[in-house]
Amino acid sequence: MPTSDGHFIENETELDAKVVQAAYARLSTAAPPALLDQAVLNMARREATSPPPRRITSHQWMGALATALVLVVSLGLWLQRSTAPPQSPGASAMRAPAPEQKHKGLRVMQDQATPRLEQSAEAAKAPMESAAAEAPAQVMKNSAVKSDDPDTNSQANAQTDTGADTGADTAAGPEVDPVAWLQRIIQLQQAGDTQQASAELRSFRTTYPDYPLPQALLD
Amino acid sequence: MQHRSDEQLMLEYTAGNVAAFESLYARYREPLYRFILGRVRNPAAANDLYQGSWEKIIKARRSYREEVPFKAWMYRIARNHMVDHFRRAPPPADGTTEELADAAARPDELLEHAQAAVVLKRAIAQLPDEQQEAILLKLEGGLGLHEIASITGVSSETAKSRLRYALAKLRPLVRDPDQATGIIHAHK
Repeated sequence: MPTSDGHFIENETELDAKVVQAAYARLSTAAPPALLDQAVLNMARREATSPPPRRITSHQWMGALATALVLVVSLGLWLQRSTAPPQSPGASAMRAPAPEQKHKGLRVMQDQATPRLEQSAEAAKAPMESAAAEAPAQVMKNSAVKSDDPDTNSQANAQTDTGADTGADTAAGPEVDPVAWLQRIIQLQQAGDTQQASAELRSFRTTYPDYPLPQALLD
Repeated sequence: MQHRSDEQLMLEYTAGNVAAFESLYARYREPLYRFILGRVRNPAAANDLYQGSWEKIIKARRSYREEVPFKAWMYRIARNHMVDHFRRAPPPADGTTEELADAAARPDELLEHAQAAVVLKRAIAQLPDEQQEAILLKLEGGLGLHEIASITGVSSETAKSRLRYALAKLRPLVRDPDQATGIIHAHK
């Protein structure tokens, strides 16, 4: 049987409910005390006259968010600066090469890193990390050597020589751009210093075993 | 205000019309009070819970929506308030013994009526908690199955089952006054 609230209750249950409800309504006379009524009504009046709670407008919300974001970013930057280890000027130069050097350096790294790493592994069992760490320095040198400016070229050669003389580089020999190195060997050969040229050529071939040699050196 | 629906009155009160609330309050002061009293069986606790329930209703007025039946909304708030109360302090022991003594001390013409009321209250008080809650929502609130199920957080089938069991226990007391008297004597 459908009831007033749209639900189905069995006849017996519904009848019971009506009978019990009628008896309950007749017998049940409890009511709240008058003082309680007064307290509730006073509360209702007080609340009705009180202004609605202040709502934060969207503008205020955005302003608060922007302020919070600025604070978070500032704090993050400050923390980053305060926790970063101090850097030497040389190190910073190595870590942040100029964009054009970086691009060029990547190419050179691709050309050279593999043979160098293989050799390092065979020769000195040096860890991969050290080879990778040396790459930026190599990149810096290479970029300078490849520059069109002759002054720069000579400077680069001077740097290379200095590096070779001081033995600052690895045991495999001076680390220079293969083109520049070959040019220097040819110059030695042309100058008549064949002994030095042969030694350099051996060193070169040890360092770059697969690098094609120019005809002048093959003779 | 007599012809206005509960929902309209509540919305008018939300808009600041105190007279609307007074009408609404007049409609539900007794049923809500008896519902609470029937659950806690302690007038002092019932007074506190009653006032607290209305306070919550008043404070929640801005969240009220017209599509929600006011009566169900009000009983849900009162019920939740009582659940919180019972979490802090369990329901007190049945106080019907004192009520029976009071009923017996009344003049003869009122005795039968008072005793019947006490018996019915006692029977409701002895129901399992879930059945007691369901039957009080039905008897005091006049709520339907769906609303009782929604307020108590159970399915309609469960609410129906609880109601059926409760009514099965109460019905004999209403049909047979002698049985009620027997209960009173047994209690004494």
